[in-house]
Amino acid sequence: MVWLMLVGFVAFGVMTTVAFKRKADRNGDLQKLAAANGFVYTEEDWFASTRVPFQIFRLGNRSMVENMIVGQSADGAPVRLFDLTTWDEKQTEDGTQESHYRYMTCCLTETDHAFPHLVVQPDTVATRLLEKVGMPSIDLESEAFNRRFMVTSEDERFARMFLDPQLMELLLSTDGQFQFEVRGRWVLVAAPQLPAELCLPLVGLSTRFRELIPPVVREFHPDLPDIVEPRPR
Amino acid sequence: MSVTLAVLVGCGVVLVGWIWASYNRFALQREMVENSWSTVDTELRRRYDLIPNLVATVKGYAAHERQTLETVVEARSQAVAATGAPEEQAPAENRLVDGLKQLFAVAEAYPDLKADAHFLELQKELAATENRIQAARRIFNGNVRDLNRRVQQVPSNLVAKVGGFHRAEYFQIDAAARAVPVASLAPDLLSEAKPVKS
Repeated sequence: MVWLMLVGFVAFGVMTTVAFKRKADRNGDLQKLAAANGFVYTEEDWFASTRVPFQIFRLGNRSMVENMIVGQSADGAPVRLFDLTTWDEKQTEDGTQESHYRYMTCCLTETDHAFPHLVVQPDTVATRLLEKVGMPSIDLESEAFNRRFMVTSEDERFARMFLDPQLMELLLSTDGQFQFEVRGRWVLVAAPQLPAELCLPLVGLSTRFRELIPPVVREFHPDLPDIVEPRPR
Repeated sequence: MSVTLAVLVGCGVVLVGWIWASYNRFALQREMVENSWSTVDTELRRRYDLIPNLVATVKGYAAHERQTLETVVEARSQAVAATGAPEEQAPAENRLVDGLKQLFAVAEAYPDLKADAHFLELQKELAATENRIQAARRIFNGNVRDLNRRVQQVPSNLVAKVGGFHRAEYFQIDAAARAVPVASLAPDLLSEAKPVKS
């Protein structure tokens, strides 16, 4: 019995140490990445980025932002790259607490226009279920795109205007690994947590996404004050 | 007996309610298709209005390229004369875009024409109009797709048959024609869109 407790205690110790080491390694890697590329690293989110009401920030009833990297993309637009953890805290019938965590890496950038909310997410079993219960995806011209992504928006016309063949081609080339959201002047690209070396390509993808926003959409949605802009805490 | 009657009446009410809702949705969808087609039509007419100016400008520098100029003028006349139904408009539009491509290919051989401020302005306007046509076309085809799906799906196809709702035609433009505004008509706009730093 004593042996069993000892083994349990050692296993718990090893797991905790490994978790701490992984977290410290990731912090270190991202700090190095920021320093090497002229970005600023901060452990906390200075901007309260999750106040922008993106769907992905509302996946759980709790969320946390850490390892934030702030800087500019190649075309001079402000960029924030960060790790996002969302989780659901639930009380089970026997009184214990259950949590389901999701770990993601997000890249938040800005455009100089204000757009309606648009979500392009990879098609999964969950999104197909959502479609069945009354959240239909907006179907576009490309069947390959419709099979791979679920598109939802508060403005269907905007979604059809926004997702032109070039933008669809870019999204298809990502192999359904990323979720894209546009709201107000904000553009978010999110993926399951990426290793540090893949974080800069995420910024590149986000920049490319912004570049490919069709001019006609900019024409119909002129620059407006963004009511959902987060304020520093 | 009364329970059976209540169930039957309840089913009848639900059925009538569903038919009513389905019919109204069809009516709304048909309206949306017509509205979005009128947007496409407006943008097409804007393009027709730009072409005479463009032809006149090119003529000023390249009068002996008569065949190309005539092709564009003729294609424009055919497009203007088309009935306005998507299936008849599309071939005429494809011919017009082919003609415009030839015209811009001709312009490449005349440096003075390429540098002409009026020509450049027209080129930009045409590119912007092309972008708007493509956006309007995507919205129209999206509405057609939604309507056609319901016309064919069970059980809404029954309401479509009774209510006289039919499949609508897509506005199909050749893939090559679709590439025109970005690839050929607006090289200047494209270079403006590139990032400041690479």
